Amino acid sequence: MFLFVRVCGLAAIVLCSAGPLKAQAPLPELMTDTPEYCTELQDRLGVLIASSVLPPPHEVADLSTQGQTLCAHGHVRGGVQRLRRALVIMQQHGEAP
Amino acid sequence: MRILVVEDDKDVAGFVVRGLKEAGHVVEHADNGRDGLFMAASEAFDAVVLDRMLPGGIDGIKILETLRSQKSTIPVLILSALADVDERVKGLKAGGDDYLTKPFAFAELLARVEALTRRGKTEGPVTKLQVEDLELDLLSRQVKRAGQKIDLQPREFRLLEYLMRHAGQVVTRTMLLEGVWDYHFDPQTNVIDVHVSRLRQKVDKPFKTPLIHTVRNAGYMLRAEPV
Amino acid sequence: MIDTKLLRSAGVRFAAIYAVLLTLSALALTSFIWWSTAGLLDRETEAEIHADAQGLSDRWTQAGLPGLVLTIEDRLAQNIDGDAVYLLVDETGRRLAGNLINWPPKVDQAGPFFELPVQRAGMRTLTRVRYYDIPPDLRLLIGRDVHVRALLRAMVTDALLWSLLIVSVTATSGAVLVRNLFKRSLANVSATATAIAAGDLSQRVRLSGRGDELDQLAEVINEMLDRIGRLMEGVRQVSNAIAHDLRTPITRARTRLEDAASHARTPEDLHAAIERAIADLDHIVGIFQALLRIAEIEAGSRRASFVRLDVAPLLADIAELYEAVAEERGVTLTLDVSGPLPVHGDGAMLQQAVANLLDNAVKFSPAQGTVGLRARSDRDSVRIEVSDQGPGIPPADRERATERFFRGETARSTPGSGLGLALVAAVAQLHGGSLRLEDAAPGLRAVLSLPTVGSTDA
Repeated sequence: MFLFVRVCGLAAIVLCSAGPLKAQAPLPELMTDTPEYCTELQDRLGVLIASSVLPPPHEVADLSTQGQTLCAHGHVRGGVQRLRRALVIMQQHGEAP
Repeated sequence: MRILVVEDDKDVAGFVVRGLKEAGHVVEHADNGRDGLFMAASEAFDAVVLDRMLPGGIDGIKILETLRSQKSTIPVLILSALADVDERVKGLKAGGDDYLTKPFAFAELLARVEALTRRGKTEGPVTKLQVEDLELDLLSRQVKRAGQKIDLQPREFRLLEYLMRHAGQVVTRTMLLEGVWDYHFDPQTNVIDVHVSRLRQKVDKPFKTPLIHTVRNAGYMLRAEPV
Repeated sequence: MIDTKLLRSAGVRFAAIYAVLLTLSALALTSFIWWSTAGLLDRETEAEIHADAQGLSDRWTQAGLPGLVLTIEDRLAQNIDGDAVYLLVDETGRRLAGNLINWPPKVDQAGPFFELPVQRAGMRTLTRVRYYDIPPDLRLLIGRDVHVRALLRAMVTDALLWSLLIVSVTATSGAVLVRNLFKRSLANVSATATAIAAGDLSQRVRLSGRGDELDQLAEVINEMLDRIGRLMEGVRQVSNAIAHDLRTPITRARTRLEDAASHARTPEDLHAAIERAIADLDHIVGIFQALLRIAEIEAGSRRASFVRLDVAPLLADIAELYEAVAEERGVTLTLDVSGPLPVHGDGAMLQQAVANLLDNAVKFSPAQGTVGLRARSDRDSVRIEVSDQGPGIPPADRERATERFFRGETARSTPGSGLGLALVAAVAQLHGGSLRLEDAAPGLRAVLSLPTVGSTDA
């Protein structure tokens, strides 16, 4: 029974999401998948690198460059992901000593 | 003696009643279970001859069980056409004192009825049996006649004991086979006659008056007077 | 009507039980798999959201609104998986922090989880969110993108649903198979029973040779049928015997009575005739009783009264009974019994059997002859032998000597019913033993062998 309730719920969701109801109401948008957020992350990374005493590891630079390129070419989610990873690595790098 | 005959077959009943009367008994007859039970329970009889299968819902076994449940000790001889060992056991278990299968010889029935009434009367343990000058001591297992000791085999002793316990009564061969040997089958040869004749050799032959008599068409009888 | 009839069929019942059991266990299994996979995904998401909320709540207590806003922004910035959803709004619904553009109207109460579709870089995706009230007037929404998880869950669910479907199809076809198997196994028995009910007693249930329960059942049924067959044969023999062999003494009695009725001159003659007729009738009754006794023994009902007993004293008793008879005829009866002779049986019946053998032996012994009663026991059997020095039975007749009413050439002139050996054979058979007639050169040796106690479980 438990299973069937779940299954029905899921089926409804799948139906809703896949069907032509898409146009019905504007869905709330996630702002972290926008080129603006790319810029924001780049700024954060820039501040972090500037305030760091140690030079950033080269992978941070790589990820940052990749992220910027992807964002510039419209692959926002991929760009955001790389920038976030660069940010995390930089953060740990700064805290390490 | 007063004897009740419960039997539904007219011919058999008439034959039994006539025979018992001729033998000197007072006989009452009931031709169904209801009357039979009523008479057996309400009047005093010395013995009952009871047919197993009776019309009217109350059969012989039922009558017997009712009588026994009322603590009646009246001797009952069951008559039955059912010869199976199981049936015999069933009849005796229900409280019958003896069981006779139809068809039967009247002599057999008479002997058994008389043995039953006698059985009812001897009370208390007996240690010594005596008929005329013949004495049988059950404790020392000695037999004497006219003061003279007689040597008997164990089985001969039991045969004589049985005859003396039923002194004055007819004892049939079947009764002897059942009572002395505890066999319930019919041997083809007359084994009983041979054993009785051996006993006679020892008990009667050396003396003047015979005590063991042959009753024609019936069996044997032990008593002083000739039959 | 059809329904009740179907339900009354044991085959259908077994099949239905099989199908229901199989389906139920499949259902239980799939439920468990679903719970531990797809269900686990949901529970993990919820646990993450819960932990997140806990952390933010601590932050709020320590650093107030600015700290909370900062933490949310940090968490978003470091969310490598890219699945976090946050939204912090004030009492007017103004966004203070987070990545959701505005408060979704659907999420209208704190506590339960909501499935919330959102737009992500132009793509539609599904999130699972929860709403927390932060007193006095802030509202916080925490959620996770569960699009991938939902897909995974749907896959698992689909697979499980399919397997359930397959199981029910298998269960149904299996049930049909079970029912047919059941029907086919019983069809054999049922066909035999029908044939027998219709009167063909020679039919037997076919054995599959696998030795399974059905074969065992078939064997039991066949044994029963054999036994019924033997009993029927016995009844037939008895009725034949009555038809042929009782006619003679009945005719004799009848002739005597009729002759006396029309020709007796004196009451003495009449009396004598009647007495002879009574003797004839007694003889007939004796034959009847012997026949019934044999029938009773052959029916096997007496086996219920069997006990463990030692035959040795029984033999001594019966020898003592016949010893006198033998002596009277000038025959010596020797007893050679070394006991104990333990058997499982009915003492009275065995005594009667041995009595019959002794009866015959004494009857056919010449004067000065010897009749021997000898008994020994070995590991398997107790052998009781009765031998005489009479004419014996020719080998050709020995087989038939134990049949009812068989009387050998030499026995025609001696009295007897011709049932003695038949009874002994019946008793032997009832006890699981046998009666064998051998040449004692000269004379006859009857060997009654019975199984000793312990060698059979009877």
